[in-house]
Amino acid sequence: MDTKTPTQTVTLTIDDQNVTVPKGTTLLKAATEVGIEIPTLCHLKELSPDGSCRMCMVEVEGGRKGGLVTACTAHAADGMVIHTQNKKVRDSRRFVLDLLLSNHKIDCFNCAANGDCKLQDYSIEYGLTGTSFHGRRQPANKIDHSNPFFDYDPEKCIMCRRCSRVCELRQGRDVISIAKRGFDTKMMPSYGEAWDESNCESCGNCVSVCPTGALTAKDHKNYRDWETKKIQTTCPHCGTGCQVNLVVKGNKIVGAEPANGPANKNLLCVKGKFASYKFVGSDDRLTTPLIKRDGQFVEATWDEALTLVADKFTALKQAHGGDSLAGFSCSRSINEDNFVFEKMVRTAFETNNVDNCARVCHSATVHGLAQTLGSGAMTNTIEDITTDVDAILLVGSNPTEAHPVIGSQIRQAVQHGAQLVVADPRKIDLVHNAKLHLQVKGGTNVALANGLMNVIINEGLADEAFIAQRTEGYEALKAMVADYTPEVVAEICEIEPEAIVQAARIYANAKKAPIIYCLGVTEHSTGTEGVMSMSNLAMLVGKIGKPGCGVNPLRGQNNVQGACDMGCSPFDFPGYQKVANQDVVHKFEKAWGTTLNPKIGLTSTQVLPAAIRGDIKGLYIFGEDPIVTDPDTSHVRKALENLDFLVVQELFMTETAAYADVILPGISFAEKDGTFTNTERRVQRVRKAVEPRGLAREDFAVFAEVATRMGQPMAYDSASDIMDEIAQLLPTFGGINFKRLENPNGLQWPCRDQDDPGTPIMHVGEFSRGKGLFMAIPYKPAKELPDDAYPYMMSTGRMLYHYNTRAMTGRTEGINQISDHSYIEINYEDANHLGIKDGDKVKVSSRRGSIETYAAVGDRVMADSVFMTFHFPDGNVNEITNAVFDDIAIIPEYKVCAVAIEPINS
Amino acid sequence: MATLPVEEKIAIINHYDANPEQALNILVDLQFASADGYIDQETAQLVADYLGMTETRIYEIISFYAILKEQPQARYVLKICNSSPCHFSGERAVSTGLKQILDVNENETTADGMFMYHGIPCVGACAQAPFVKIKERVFANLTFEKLEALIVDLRAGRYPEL
Amino acid sequence: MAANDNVLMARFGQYIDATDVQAYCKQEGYEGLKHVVSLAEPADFLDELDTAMLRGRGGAGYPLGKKWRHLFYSENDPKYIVCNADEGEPGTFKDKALLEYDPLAVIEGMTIAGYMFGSPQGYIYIRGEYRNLHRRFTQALEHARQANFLGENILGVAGFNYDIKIISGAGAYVCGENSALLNSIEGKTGRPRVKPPHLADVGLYQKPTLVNNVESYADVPVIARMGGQAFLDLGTEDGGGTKLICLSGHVKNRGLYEVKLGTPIHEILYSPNYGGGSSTGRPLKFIHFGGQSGPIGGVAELDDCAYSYDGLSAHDLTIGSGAIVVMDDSVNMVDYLTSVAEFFAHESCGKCTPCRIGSLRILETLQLFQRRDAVPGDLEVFESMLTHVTQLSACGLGQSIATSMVSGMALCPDEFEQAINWALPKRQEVSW
Ligand SMILES: Cc1cc2nc3c(=O)[nH]c(=O)nc-3n(C[C@H](O)[C@H](O)[C@H](O)COP(=O)(O)O)c2cc1C
Ligand code: SF4
Ligand code: FES
Repeated sequence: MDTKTPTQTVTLTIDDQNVTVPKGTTLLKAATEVGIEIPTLCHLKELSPDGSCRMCMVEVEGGRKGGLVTACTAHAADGMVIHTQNKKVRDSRRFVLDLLLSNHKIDCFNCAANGDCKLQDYSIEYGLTGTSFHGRRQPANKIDHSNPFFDYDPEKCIMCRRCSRVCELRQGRDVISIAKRGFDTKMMPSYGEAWDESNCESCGNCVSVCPTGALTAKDHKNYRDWETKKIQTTCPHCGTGCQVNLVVKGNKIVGAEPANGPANKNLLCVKGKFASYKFVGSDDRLTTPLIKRDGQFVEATWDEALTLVADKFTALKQAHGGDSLAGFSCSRSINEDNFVFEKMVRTAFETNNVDNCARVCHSATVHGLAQTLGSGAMTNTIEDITTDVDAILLVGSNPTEAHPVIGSQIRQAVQHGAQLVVADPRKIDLVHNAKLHLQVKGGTNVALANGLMNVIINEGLADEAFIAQRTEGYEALKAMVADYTPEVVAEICEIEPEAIVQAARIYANAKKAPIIYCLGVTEHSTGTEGVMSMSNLAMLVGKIGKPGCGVNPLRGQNNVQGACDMGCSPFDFPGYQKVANQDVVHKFEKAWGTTLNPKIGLTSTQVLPAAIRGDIKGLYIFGEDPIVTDPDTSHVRKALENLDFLVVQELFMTETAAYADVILPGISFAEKDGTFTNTERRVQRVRKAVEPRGLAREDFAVFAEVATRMGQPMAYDSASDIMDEIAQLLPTFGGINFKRLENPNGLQWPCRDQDDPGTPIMHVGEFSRGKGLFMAIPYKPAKELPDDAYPYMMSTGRMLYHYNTRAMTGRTEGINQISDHSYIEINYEDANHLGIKDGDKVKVSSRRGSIETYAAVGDRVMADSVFMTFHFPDGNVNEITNAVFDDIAIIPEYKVCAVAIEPINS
Repeated sequence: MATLPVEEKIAIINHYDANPEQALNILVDLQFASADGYIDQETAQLVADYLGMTETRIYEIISFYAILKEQPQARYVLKICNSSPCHFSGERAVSTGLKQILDVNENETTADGMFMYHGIPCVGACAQAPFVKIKERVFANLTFEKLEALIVDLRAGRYPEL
Repeated sequence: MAANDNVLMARFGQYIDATDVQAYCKQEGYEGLKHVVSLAEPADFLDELDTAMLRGRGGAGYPLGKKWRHLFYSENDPKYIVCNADEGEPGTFKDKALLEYDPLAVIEGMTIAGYMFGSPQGYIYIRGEYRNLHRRFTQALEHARQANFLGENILGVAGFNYDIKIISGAGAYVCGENSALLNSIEGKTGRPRVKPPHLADVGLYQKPTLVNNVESYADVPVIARMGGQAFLDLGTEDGGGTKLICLSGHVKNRGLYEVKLGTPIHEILYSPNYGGGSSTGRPLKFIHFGGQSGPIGGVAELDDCAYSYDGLSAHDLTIGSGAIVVMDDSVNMVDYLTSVAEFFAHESCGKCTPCRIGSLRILETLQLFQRRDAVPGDLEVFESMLTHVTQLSACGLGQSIATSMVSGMALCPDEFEQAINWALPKRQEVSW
């Protein structure tokens, strides 16, 4: 252990108050300690001081040159005497404000930032009503309205540089700069191009930090700050778990602002900032229960609908047994809903046929890591793996688009010197920041991992001590990877052998290096094996159970971690307590006062074929849209059509809902209290911002009511009560309750009791399963490979602007303005060969069907490979994806299928 | 800068090992090598890609440093020092002289695209004022007659290196 | 000063090729480096520098000994050596001459620094307008390498590995400010950095860094060769050595000279060896010292003043870069300062508010005076504006805009009074 020298402190006087702070503290921070606020315009607490606005002047008694220093940059020293409000200081601040006002369009009544403007606030505070200067102003500039979400008025810019610094240093995009110099200095995209011509991705972080009305959200025109209240909650999009303040006027959400959450630290992506609220107030929300009569949905009362649901399910259960029923839960909804849903299925339906969409994204992670490490979740925290690391191994993950705020933090890590190695068939955005890109052929992750391990072992870079003390199964692994020389692997992956060697060295030699992976590893017929390969790698070099290391799957949906934790799984009760374990079944029987079906249930991917076979007769779908999200759509349709009874609980009329017998209106994240668990196992609060619309009810209350009507009485007053029950039943949640969750950092499970602060890093000292298990896994090719008829290898994934089925993002106009149709990425070479130009309409077919979409020609994919996003109903890629499964996690192989492409000549 | 083939641009960048420390050298060389005397957005992007920087940073540099231009320039840009040592040593005579000879205002290009003149701060030739500087060459101790002769010579292509 | 007393210009024009290492060595070249390398304790040379009282020749006049000592005891490594050849102060062209006529002297000085601090790499940042000197300097570096005065195991000293790179500026005066210069080397826009930290601790690429002026480096081998005391003796107690001066404006013999510190200003202006008096036939009126950021003194007031650090400071003046801009009595102070203000407004980097906007407001106010449109009260407001811009600006550029203004106004108050239209109503008071 290194012995830390005790922090030196200094004592100084600020406005007659004594304060002692660590050496190196700025005067600005020291003043905050004694509750003195010093005005700032350019300061951003996440970044080093900029010292450019000169608003924060304070006087140091006896200091050089009049003693004025900027509080944001000057360090506190022993014996300093500081004045933050004397005449000299106030005069200097007035001078700065006067200068700024002399080149600022003063248009407060018309300005969206009225009431939300630091220049305005300080001018009032310092008694300035206008400028005393008469000189030149910047030439009249056109307001740039070109971005769909915000406007830029250069004449209101005070050149504080917050926007450009956020864009460069935090978002890592670097779209805008403070160009030119002197009085002509101007903040703009390069060459003064319009915003929509630049490579701006509309994250809006510049808008969030702008202290004036220069950069304002278009939506901000509709409210004045003082008319609103702000509710902090968790973003409903990806699994990053960003904290966001919803801006509420009346009963309407009018905007969103980043909050200082542990995962996002005041950043948001375009979805969080601009697309997380419009759908809530969308006119096409379902507001009343609907029952299908003669093929038409007609409005019904809750009582009618619930009676019908309970009676139907009960009748099916009585006729065919509980295992003829199934439920799909919603990994976008809160933990509490998921818990009650699975409880309803297990107790009232009397089956373990309950699952959630993790099945089709990260079930391989849950299974793979549980087997090798003992727990199937991200081992470290987002902050930990992006703040102080020497290298990052990013495999099959495109965080820039799928987890944008994590993507930004990875770019920050690279700016701070981390070496990034990207293993991905596509030239994803982070390749620009990478030291090395291993552009492997799709479906070859296991081979790649074996190759990396081969190099690590042969070059003596394995952590022998770690392996000896903490793992088992090494000898078998070593023997197996011996065959995977860089040359052999290079051939399989279609990359250079040297690149494998170089990547292995970078990863193994780094002091701190996390593996970060995503669906590019899991969504394969060898997904679980791919995941295990990741834990093999990390254990081989002892990079697990330590800061800045670990195996880190990025979970896709906001609460997919939670839905799994809550036991929406045919294999696991809440908390990954196994259905196969008799003691566990007894425990839950006792707790819930009923007998439970001891048989392991079917996965969602097994339920659909079972419905086609007629084995599943009744299905309750909570907030999922399998027609759009599951592979091989026609087979999903067939399954749904074949059901005797289908209930869908939803916010909107989805494609799946159209097949329902009863539709129940659900409520959105903004209308409920509860919790989400993000990808780093962090349980965070979801807070109600507005009242639900129409007759829509609390979702868990609906499940409890259905269960009650089916003879399993259940009632909860609040989400908080449900969490208390969860804490009783899940050892890893034992210390979690709503009161503790008021802490802005939330709580990371395992959190076993009231005194447990939670677990940022797992497997420290010991793996959850005791010893870490190496699994010797030979490479197997994907199940469907290109051939003459279907010559292209297609993979699927997300894009930045949309989220899954677009139920939320598709209801934000600006998002659709940027992206409103499906597309297929094709390499230049193939496009040439096929006679296809960028933007052309094309037909894409596989053995399962064909769709029409538009070509996006470029070099993101390599030749012979193509890529499609899965967000769009027009050209729904899942009409053609392959519903073959991984044998362990039953996860579909979304990432590889063979397709043919032909131009459509209109 | 469409005038400069991309291979030549890349050759200039590689001459400096595509090193960000040499960004200014690279940009000035690129600018001087092109007939229209400026760095266009496409070239900025090219430099950015080779130097592992963003176009935004390259643009910021171009817009910041006075020698670098983001707009097409005349064939010959005559720079006149207007810092006080020169300003009070005949600078104004040179600018009014050029206005008379070329019949354009400061910062305007002559109709034939050949000439443009503008003031710049001290270039360290204070002892030779009044002068004009074209690229790296100083034409010192000018009189109106010398200025006229210089323009004639430039039109005649007497200074091929410029 | 007789030409053969020169220490900095001694070799000027003495070579056929100023980059020829052999020729350089024949004229005492590299003796300084050899001396320093032969010292048992490199730190002894720091004492020598202190004795020599060499003050930085870039403008601020900070004692070199102190700066080098700070870096010497800074713990981080590597340490970088940077030569500031951005020479942007109007009226200054001495560094250009050194680079052109004796580049190896600058290289030797930088190499001594490299040895003292165990630095692997030196950088010389040459202003964009001097790009034509790159070829020659590159050649000088190449010759030094060939003769093993740069490269590995220099002078056969194991582990003395050091080389120098040339970096080009592209027309920004502010890049002469040390931290802006380092940003510019790093391929960033040359705007100044926030201080603290001090560059000797956190400089180029966050490493301890020495930045000195070209002439300062050229003086270092002189000190090593002749010893600190002899160097001090060339100048005065408050600053040793000679100084390169750049005479411009309304004197007959404009140009570069080397003078001993302590030479009478009168001699510099009027001696046929130097300025040779007025070139216009009109009486000389004032001198602007050290470029635009320096102060202005009256010729009459300075008649018996010595050109030395202490001599000038007695008149609240400074040597600065060594520029001596001389103006005759045809030049009105308001006009002159307007021209100076134009320079600053053009060169402000635009980062901090008081300089970005204030430099223009200062210029506009001077233009108001020039047009005789000023009203009573404007002068007081102008003075207050100058004080604020000086106190609030982030770097030396904004902080020194007022230097010439304040001294110039003090020198010619009447010319400002005359600029005011006293018949107009008094200006409304400002809140600052
Ligand atoms: C705006 C500004 C411009 C400067 N320009 C130069 C310059 O061109 N050359 C120079 O040597 N020093 C210049 N300086 C001074 C340097 O910051 C620094 O003091 C000097 O390089 C230190 O070297 P010295 O101690 O050897 O003089 C400038 C300072 C400021 C604030
Ligand atoms: S004082 Fe002027 S030059 Fe210096 S940082 Fe501020 S704006 Fe830039
Ligand atoms: S906050 Fe200190 S200078 Fe802007």
